[in-house]
Amino acid sequence: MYPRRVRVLAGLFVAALAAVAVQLVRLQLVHGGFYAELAREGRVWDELESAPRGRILDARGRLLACDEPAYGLGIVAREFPLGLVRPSDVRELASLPAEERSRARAALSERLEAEAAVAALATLSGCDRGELARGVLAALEKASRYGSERAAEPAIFGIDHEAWLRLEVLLSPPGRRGTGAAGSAIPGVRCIFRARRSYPFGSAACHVLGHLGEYEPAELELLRRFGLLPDADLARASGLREALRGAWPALARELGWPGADDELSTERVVSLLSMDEETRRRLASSSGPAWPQIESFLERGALARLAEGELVWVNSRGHLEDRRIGRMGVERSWNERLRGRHGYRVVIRNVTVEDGRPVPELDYLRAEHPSAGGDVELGLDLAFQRAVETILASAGRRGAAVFLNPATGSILALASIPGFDPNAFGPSPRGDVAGLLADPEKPLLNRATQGLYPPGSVFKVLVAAAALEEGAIAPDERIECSGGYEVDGRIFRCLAEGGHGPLDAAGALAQSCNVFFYQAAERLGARAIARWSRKFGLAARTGVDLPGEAAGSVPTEEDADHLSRRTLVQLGIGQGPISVTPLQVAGLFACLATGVLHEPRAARPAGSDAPLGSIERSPQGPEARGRGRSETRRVLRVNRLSDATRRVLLAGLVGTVHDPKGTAHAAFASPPAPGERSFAGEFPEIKVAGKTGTAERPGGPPHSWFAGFAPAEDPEVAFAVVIEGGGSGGRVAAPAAARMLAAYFRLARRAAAE
Amino acid sequence: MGERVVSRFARRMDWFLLACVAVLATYGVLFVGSAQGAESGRLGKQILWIGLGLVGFVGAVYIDYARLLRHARLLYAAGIASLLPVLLTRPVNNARSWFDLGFLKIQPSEFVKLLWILAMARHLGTQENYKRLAGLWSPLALTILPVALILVQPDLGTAMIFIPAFFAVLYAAGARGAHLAAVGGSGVVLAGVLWGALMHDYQKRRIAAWLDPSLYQATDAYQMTMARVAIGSGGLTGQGLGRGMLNKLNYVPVKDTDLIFSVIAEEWGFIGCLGLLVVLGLLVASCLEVARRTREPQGRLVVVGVTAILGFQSLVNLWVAVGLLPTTGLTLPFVSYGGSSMLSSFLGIGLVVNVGLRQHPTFGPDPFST
Repeated sequence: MYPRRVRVLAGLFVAALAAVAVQLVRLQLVHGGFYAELAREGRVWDELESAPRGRILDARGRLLACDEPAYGLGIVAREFPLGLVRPSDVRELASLPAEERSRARAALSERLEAEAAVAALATLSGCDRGELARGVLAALEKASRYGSERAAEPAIFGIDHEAWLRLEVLLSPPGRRGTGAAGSAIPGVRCIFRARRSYPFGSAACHVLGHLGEYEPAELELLRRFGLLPDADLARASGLREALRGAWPALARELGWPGADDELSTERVVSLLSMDEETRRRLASSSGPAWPQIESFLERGALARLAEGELVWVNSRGHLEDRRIGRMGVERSWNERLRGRHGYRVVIRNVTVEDGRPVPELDYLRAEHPSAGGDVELGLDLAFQRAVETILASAGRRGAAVFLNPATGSILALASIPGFDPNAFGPSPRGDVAGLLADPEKPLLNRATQGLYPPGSVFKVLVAAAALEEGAIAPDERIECSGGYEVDGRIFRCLAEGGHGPLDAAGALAQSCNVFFYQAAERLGARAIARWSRKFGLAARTGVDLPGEAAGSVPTEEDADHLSRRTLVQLGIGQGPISVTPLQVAGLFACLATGVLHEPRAARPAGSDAPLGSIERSPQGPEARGRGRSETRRVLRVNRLSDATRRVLLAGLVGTVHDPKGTAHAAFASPPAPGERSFAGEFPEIKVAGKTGTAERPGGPPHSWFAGFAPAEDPEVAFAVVIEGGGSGGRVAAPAAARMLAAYFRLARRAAAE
Repeated sequence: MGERVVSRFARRMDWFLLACVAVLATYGVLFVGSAQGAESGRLGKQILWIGLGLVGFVGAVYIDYARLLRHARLLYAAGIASLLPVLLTRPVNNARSWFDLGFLKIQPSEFVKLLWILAMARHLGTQENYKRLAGLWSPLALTILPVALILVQPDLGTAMIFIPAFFAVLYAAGARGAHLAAVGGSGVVLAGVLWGALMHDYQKRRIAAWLDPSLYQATDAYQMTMARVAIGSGGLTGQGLGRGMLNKLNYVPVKDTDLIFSVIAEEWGFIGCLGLLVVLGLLVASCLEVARRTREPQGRLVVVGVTAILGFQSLVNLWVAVGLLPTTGLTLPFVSYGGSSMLSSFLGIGLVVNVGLRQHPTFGPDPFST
């Protein structure tokens, strides 16, 4: 009996297993397709909850950049009623070649304008019908491409808030608001809002602030390769390779990768982006002329952080939601802090099976709250910045001005003209971005940090300091200037026709005598000039927290040995193979003022205790470039000059402004415009130390420079002003600087009185 | 001496049975890994549990089961005793079923199952009065005690397993079918009466949700609905290991424990499921073959008991996964993630192999013949 009983038990077990198998056949084989479809449709998507971006404030807490809500409409492709246009028309757009596509799109959006739903929506929202139709088409296209037919894709923004609120009531699905609305007036439309970056002061401090934008195709390609965007249809990887094309062979060689046409694989790019200082230096020296191009690609340091997946939010469908990243200025260099961390909600549409169709219903599965971005505080004062910008604009069409706090390196003002309105950028641009990009005046160029100019006579200060310190010229030694200096058969002229006569170093500075400095340069030698330039931070990046800084150039010590005499003497007056940025020049004068060369700083985290510029010693030099920007100051170098040298330099620089023979005397002594007071008249007790520069260049009038610091004894501010093609330093840049300094001291006085 | 022992074991070891277990454990490792991701700690722990299980297995095989049976009463008492303090712990998922020792959690009810089998085997193997109706009281009492204690936790699933195992063991031992039917019938009536009184709300809701899922989509029926969609979307061959959408996106709850089958179904499809079912069937068949070979009555009952427990637990888990039963919270032996479950399953199989290895002499005719 027992074996039979065991067989009975075994039989029952098998029967039960068979029941499972039968059910599996039902679920997987018979209805498999249905459930697979259900799984796809019932799939959730992640709704991004954007983190509010941090604000940017000026030194007095004025709001320079912040988020404001933009109200708009979203279209749910599945529900939106279309009569004249078919969903297949929209789908076909994707398969057309590019030229035809824009025409087809235009045609399609015209047809959409005639749709009843679009017309009604336009009336209700107060939008222009054509713009609305274009937006609706864009939303439909996006839905068909990403399969988000059940989500509300943004169609249009910029709706008036009142109208938007009214629409919200009208458009809500039945029963949801408990108002018992009979039915949604127009199905498939949702009221949405999102944050838009607003710069309340328009173009003020535009280059310091920067602007937001979206990822570039090359960056997206890299993200795709890391598997973050599995389904996205993106620009070709060649976009990235294009950027490197010319530089690729040198790069590959230096890094020891086989073959110049070696595939630019993901791993290779990662190693490029995470390169350390040492490798970067080797690369720079071996790439030669290709280096700037490679460097600009490596500049996209933000990408490395993105590629590690830390900062980027991508939803489960691989859709990149994060469209607001800083692309320029503080918005870019402080992007990590400003961005905060986005949150998300996982929304599920249930999988009720009713008559074989899924019935939609929402449920939230998981949520992570966004954490707001941190605020960032600038060192500049808006009132001063605007004054500087206005004055600069009245002095010329293109140029830059930089004002630094010499004790800390913090930037008090940084202006570059022409400027732009950052409000023009963003996902729904309000201005003419293409125009800005194409403008030959290059308004997007930050001339203060990216503009390279020959320094001209401003460089003489450095030559003087070097010559005095090295003993090439004694402090009270006089050199005769007869108006010309012969070098290898060519005569180099001085400013004064008949010559200045015998001049000592201070006088030569004050009157900007070329001959003195031709001789000084010869005595010093090119190597020393190169060395001293570097000591004072010229022709090298300062490390300021603004992206895209240019380095400039000065002959290296190896090249110095091969310079001709002619080139050497030209170097003495700041012409020839030398180019610097206004920021570097301001830094040079700040260092002369205090003996310390700081790393300039535009911003710091708001509310941090460290004053914008607490000094921290770093004897090895600039911090290694890498993740994040440190908030404390870095001392780049300490250049203590001997007392004798300092006395001479000070005498020369103060003489430039206050000695009647000084090249900037008129600028400070006479009123800049009728009705205004002269600087000397308004601030008789303040001694300004400065140097004019008239930098010759081929193909146009010379650049006009004026740089220095004030007050001379106890400097509060160091500055550099340059007007492109402005002409004489004393006649254009110096008066502008005088007005700017006047503005500064006026504001300082008022602040002290408060 | 050692070599002889080993070779003696090796010759008589039921390798086929062990192979079935190995296949199931492999399913488990693969899909726990897929469900939880290789970097999470769970996959590593699963492998650890399997390792521990193997150690337990060796232990359970080494000690002669007859010695275990001699101490069956003591062990049973110890098992019952362990079910008391667990009721004082903090509830996990609304049930007080676990001892939380920090680095690991122990579920005593898993082990009590085995101890109960030992007690039943010993009790039924030493006397015959269970063939009379009145004689069924004592095994019933032996069973009701742990069941009640486990129901109080409350752990309906584990408690439930005892019932069919009870009937299976008695049936195999030779109790009369009519008597068993009577006991079963009155049990059903009693359960119906107690349903309203003693069932927890959530247990009632689970059954209601099972009966009419459309009303409970987002809440109680959510689990089974998602499981069903996951299973169905697997189709014939599945989405591929590690690529099941609902698995990866975490839309099936408890996907590495109770509903691991849905992951298998989604990723390996009908074929993969069928494989699992076949292996399960073969495992049960092997165990029952051991029972058939064994003439020693208590040994037989041990094997039948363990097989019943593992078999019914697997069945319930599978039936829940495919929607034939309301949610119970039972794991799939050897496959689901879970330390106590894995260990007790290995111990159980160890007992089966233990019995299979040793042919203790028995006298007289087959005691189970009726």
